[in-house]
Amino acid sequence: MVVTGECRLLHTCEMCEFNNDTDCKADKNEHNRWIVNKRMNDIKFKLIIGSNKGGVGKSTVTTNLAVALAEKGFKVGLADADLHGPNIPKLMGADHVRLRATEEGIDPYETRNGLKVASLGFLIEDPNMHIAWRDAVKYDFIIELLGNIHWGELDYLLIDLPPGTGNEQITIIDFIGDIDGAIIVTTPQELALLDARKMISFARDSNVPIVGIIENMSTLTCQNCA
Amino acid sequence: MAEELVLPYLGSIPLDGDITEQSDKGDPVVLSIPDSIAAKAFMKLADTCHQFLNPETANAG
Repeated sequence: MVVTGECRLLHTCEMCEFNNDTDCKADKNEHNRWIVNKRMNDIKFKLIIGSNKGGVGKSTVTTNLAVALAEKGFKVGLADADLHGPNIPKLMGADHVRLRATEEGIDPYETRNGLKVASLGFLIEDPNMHIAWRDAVKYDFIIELLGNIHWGELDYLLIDLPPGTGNEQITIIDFIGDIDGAIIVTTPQELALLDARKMISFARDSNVPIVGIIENMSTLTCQNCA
Repeated sequence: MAEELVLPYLGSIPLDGDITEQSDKGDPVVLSIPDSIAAKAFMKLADTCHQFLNPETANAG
């Protein structure tokens, strides 16, 4: 694998249309846009799942929704964009998985039922080590997640957002450009709704259609009742 | 709540011991206990999402 371009991105020279082996002229930003666009063109529906608030069950809902869609026979990818708390590997029982790079990019982890998963959790050796990254590094990671992961052809890519309406969310929406929908997760508490409304206004302001609201932890089911 | 915000309501997921337990085990409830209330709620959610995005199809999968 030879990296010749000014873009300094790994894994992509072989497949890059800018590459002519010796004298690649693509700058990093141009290349980033190109590679993300190329990956996303193979995906039918790109969905973001957010809540603004933390702890309402975004990752749990996203994981189970992704598994459910895969069970229904769709080709599904799950991108964990929560880089400060990448919980998807643990939720999938895949915390010891490490991803491998090929000439086509980094292969996502594939579950038994064909769900493709990528998360920063697969790349960090110590699961207890915090991530303290400034925005510029987080920006680069989001591009890795969308552009350097070899998602292949998918019906659905579910992107599990971190809490907030900041850098990661803006970068994802900016780079994908035509997100097909935002799913808002909330819980019945006023506090969660207060934050969810901001997520809704953020999505509307970013021209992302809102698929709808999921009310998580809505009612208590009793384990001992018939 | 969805009405107040003029948005489609995709459904609710109960606060359910199966979800938390299976999540901690790393075995999503949809796969590990497919007959549970929680798993059925997620499968229904998947249908609703699919139908929203593919209004021409009546049923998913």
